Formats: sequence, C-alpha cells, structure tokens
Amino acid sequence: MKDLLKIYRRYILTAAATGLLILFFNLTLFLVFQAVQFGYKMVPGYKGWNMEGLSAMLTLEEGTYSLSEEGCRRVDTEFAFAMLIGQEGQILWSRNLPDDIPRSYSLTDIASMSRWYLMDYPVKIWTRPDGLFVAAPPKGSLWKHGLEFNTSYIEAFPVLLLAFVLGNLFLAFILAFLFGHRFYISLKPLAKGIERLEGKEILHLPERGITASLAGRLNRASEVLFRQNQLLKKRDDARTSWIAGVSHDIRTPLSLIMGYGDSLSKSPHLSPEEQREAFSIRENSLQIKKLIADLNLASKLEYNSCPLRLKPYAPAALLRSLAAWYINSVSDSRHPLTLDIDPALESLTLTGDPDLLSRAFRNLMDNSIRHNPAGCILHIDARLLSRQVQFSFSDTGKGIPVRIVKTLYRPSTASKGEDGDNISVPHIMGLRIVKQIVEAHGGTLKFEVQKDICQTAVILLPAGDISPE
Amino acid sequence: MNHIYECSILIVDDNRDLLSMLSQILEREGFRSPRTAGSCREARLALKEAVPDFIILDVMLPDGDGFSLFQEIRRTADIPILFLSARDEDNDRLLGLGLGADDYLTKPFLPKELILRISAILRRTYLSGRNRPEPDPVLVLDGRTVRFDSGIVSSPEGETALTAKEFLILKKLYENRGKIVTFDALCDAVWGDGYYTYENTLMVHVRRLREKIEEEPSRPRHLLTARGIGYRLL
Repeated sequence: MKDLLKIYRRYILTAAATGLLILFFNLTLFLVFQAVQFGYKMVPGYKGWNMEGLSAMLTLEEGTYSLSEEGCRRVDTEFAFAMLIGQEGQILWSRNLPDDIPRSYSLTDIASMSRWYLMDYPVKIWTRPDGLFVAAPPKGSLWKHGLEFNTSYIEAFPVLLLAFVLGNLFLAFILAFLFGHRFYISLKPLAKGIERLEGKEILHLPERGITASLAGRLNRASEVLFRQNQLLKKRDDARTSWIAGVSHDIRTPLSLIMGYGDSLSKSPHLSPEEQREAFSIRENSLQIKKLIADLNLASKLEYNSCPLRLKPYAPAALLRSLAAWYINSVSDSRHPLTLDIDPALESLTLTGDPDLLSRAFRNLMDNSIRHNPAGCILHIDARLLSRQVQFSFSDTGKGIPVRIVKTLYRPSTASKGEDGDNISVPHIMGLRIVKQIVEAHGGTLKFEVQKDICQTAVILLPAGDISPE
Repeated sequence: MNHIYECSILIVDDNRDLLSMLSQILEREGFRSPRTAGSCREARLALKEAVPDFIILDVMLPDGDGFSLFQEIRRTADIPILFLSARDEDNDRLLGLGLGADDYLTKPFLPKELILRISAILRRTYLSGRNRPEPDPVLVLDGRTVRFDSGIVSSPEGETALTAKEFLILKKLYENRGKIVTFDALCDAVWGDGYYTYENTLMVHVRRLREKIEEEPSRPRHLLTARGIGYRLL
C-alpha cells in the first residue's frame, strides 16, 4: 500500500505541475505575441493606418485641397477611399469615393461612423481644424468593437487577474486530487492483491470498474501461481521424504556392516592384514553414516523442511564452546587452534539456531583437519561489523581449490567440475551444508581467494536482530 | 546383583541379523546370553516368560511401534529401556526420552558406544550406592591438598579456606579435569550468568585461586589458561 500512496502522491503533484506548466506556457506565448506585435510596430517603414500623418498630407492651398503624392499612394494602396468632411457635414475633399457613400453627413452619421462602420467600411477618423479627415480601410479588413469598463474594475484588474490564476490553480489541484483519489480507490484492491500474491494466496478480487480486466488477470495469475507452488511443494516433499526414507532404510544394514567390521577388526582369528581390512570397513561405514546424516540435513535445508529452532545465543560463548570442544575432543598436536574474538561481541546476543550454526562451524574445522593430515594451524576470528557479525575460519594448510568453491556456488547440484572432472560428494556436501545453514540464518558464506586457493571461509550473519545486553 | 554382567537383557528388533549381531556383541563383552524378540507380540511373550533387567527396543516393529510397547511395558514394570532406532529425527529422540526411556541411540552405531551406554544405565540402576565409585573428594596438587567437603587447601605452610566463588570455580574445573572449561561455563556455574561483565571478576578469582593451590602462581602448573577460551585443571 505504501507504493500505491506513492503513486497517488506523484499523480497529484504531476497533475498540479502540468497545470502550472500550461499556465506558464500560455502566459509566455501571450507575452511573446505582444512583444512581436510591439516589435513589428517599431520596425522602420511600418505605417499601419497612421491617420495623423495621412491627414497632415492633405493641405489647403488657395482654396483647393490637395493630397501629397505620398498621401495619394497610401490612400490608393492602404485604403478604399478617403475624404474630408467639413464642419457642416458636407464633403470638402475626397479620393476614390465610391458612389454609394453619402455626400453629406449629420451629427448622428458622424457619431455612428466614428464608433462603428460607414456602409460596412471600418472607417478611421482624424479631427482637423477644418473638419474630420476620414479614411476607410477596405471592407472586412478591421473588426471594430466598443469596450467599456468601470474605473474601479480597471483599478482592481491586477488583483482580479491574480485571483483568477490562483482560482484556476486551486481548481486544477482539487480536480487532480479528486480524480487521483478515485484512481487510488480503484487501484487499492489491486495493490492489496499483489501484496497477497507474495504470500502465495489465491486471490478473489472484485472484477468491476476500470480495473475489472486487471483484477481478473490477477485472480487467474494467482490461481496459476498457487497451483505451481503446490506442485513444487509436493515435489520437494516427495524428494525430502524419499531421501529420509532411503537414509532410514540404509541405517540398519549399515549397523550390521559397522558392527561386524568392528568385531572382525579385533578378532584374534584374523591376520593383521585382514584386521586392517575389517577396520577399513568399519571406518568407511562411519563415513557413510556421516554422509547419510549430511545428505538428510542438506535435503531438508534445501527444501525448507528443517525449521530453525531459533533462540537467543551469544556468538562469543558459542565460539568458545566450539573451541573448547575442538581442543578437548578433536585437536591433536598437528592441528592447534587459535581463537580471536572482538571484545565488542561479548555483550551481544543474536537470534538463531546455535546447534545448526555449531554444525556449520564444525564442518569448516573438520575440512581443515581432513584435508591437512600433515598438520596445520586453525584460526577462528570473530568481528562485529556495522550491521553484521563476521566469523572467519582459516588454516595454514593447502586450502580449498577454487573449482570446488565455484561448484558450491553453481545453481545446479551437479558434482562435475568446470573442466568436467568429478568433485567427490564428500568435499562438497560439508560445504554445501555450511552454506545452507548460513543462508537459512539470512547470512552469506564467502571465501577469500589467493592464487586459486581459498584458505579463509568468511561467514557473515546479519546483526539486525542483535540486542545489546 | 553384584555385577552388571549378571543382568538379563531382552533385545526387540525386527531384523534377525541385527538381533544375532547384538547378541554376539553382548556375549563377547561378558553379558549373559540375551533373549531376543522380532515383534511386539514376541516381546510380550518374552516378558510374560520372565521380566528382564534391561530392554533394547527398536521403534519400528512389524506389528506396532516401540513407543507404544514402551508405555505398555512401563505400566507393569519399571525396567530400564534403551531405544535403538534408525529414526534419527530430533522429534523421535525427544519423544523417546520424553516418555522416560533411559537412552536413545540411533543406528548405525559403534558396538563400543552401545556397550558403554548399556553399562552406564545398568550401573546407575542396579549398582548405585554400592559399587559406584564416588568422585574423589580430595584434590592433590604437588604437596597441596584441596578437600572439597570442607573447602580447605592444606599445604606445608598451613591451611587456607577457599571462598565460595573460588570453591565453585575449582569444583567445576575438577569435574572436567583435563578438559578446557570455557569462561562462559565457569560464569554460569558460579554466577548463573554469561561471561559479559564478569571478565575481570573471573580473572581476579582465578588469580586468587592460583595463589592458594599453585606453588608458583605466576607460573601455574595445574590451573592453566586456554587463551581466549577458558581454563583447564591438570
């Protein structure tokens, strides 16, 4: 729903911004137009219908009116006709005067033509001492309209203009809000549906209104997803059950192999060589036992059928207990262990499954011992980073080949190396379990690589749920 | 009963080969020849015949489950029972132990481990208070003697009493003699709390304890530090 509110907010803001932009655009266009008009009038040579100039070109000489050559040219080109009406209403002078134009005018005629038209000619008038100079632009070339405003209205015009702009803006905002709200209401069920889709539920969204088609598609998509999830779960459960079943069935025969192998390895009736062979049977049975347990755990972790037994634990105490167990039970003089814990970790408590985490840590330590029979120094280091706890397990042995690490991070569970060589399952199984346990805790497992060899495994666990004591 | 090897044992498992192997193992270790049963029905008959001193019981049987049979047996006789099962789920183990079983061992197993577990149960059940060796209440260290009943350390120079905390620390180390005991385990034993905030306190108590039990406290020979992990009593 947060996302929908975000869309809603953005929609309103965008609508308001669009309104403002249009207003700004229109204002700019108007000003530009005015500026062009003004600029056009300022261009040298522009005459327009300059009545004063034209009137001045008509002069009275020795009782006869005459228009200058320039005046004649202008009247002929810019006007239909021109005339001078005397104080008594009679025509004193004229040029190109059509026949249908009256030859004398009353005060009423003068008043009418000065404001409107003379026989549909949009005449223009200039007052002179000897009368009215009248020039008539061609019919249809001018639209004349009388404008009258109250003085108070003109005085208040700037305020009214501002109110008009603000009123329009307000209206635009309100409309954007109302339309946005309507849009929000219609999208709300869809947003809720998408959220529920993450929970792998079947949706039953109402299929009506403008979102009817979308809601219908979501409903059908949810059914498809639900069915797919069911099938996947069924398949995963079947796989886990199968592995659990096989590992269960193998345990009793393995007990016999281990038991008899153990007995034979101590039998006085067998030669030392035969005893050694029997001991090998016993040892390898133990290895198979461990593999079965690993396989079971890996399968359960892979298909999430192994719920973590979450509880608070102190990582520092867990590491010390692990180190003590190692030194007390496993370590020999060839594999000494050193432990370094960041003092900042002492006061911290994490939430997790300490048994499974111990299992992961032990797997890493087992690897160091198993692959370095000649001996190596094991070192465990734990640090508190800003939002994570970092556990580093390193040794001075031969390290883990990079190809094994790459196999571990390949999505496929195939046990073939990049170059097609077989990487035996025991090598991968232990590390895979470490990775799965760490990832089940929301953490990551990394390997520090130097010259194609990884000698340090780094586990990063989220410290988000850390609660300082 | 003077010895655990005199105990009569009944093994209930549906795998005849396993029954045979278990019988051989037990006999080889000196136990009386055990009786065997391949199903719940056979187990009931064997129990009617004679009540054994100990039962090794499988969980999955052809005509019922071991948990139910366990409850049935326990209703009539309080016999120590060890579950020996291929079911290794935590829930199964917890169910078995929760019902009151004396132990739960998962297959496959090492014969030695089975024998050790059976011996421990039998000793605990039948020989407790008679032949069971009591832990030595006296700790002897290079001419110094610590008596746990009184908390007194005796040396040629005289006697010194351990404080309550020193006593608890030494007792915990003595119970795990030879093994490293973590700082956390010691703090839990002494203060019932974690190591955090007790770091210095524990160090001071150990130093004082060394002054009482070591010849040269600055170069301890018995109460050793495992750097960053804990302490060990040798």
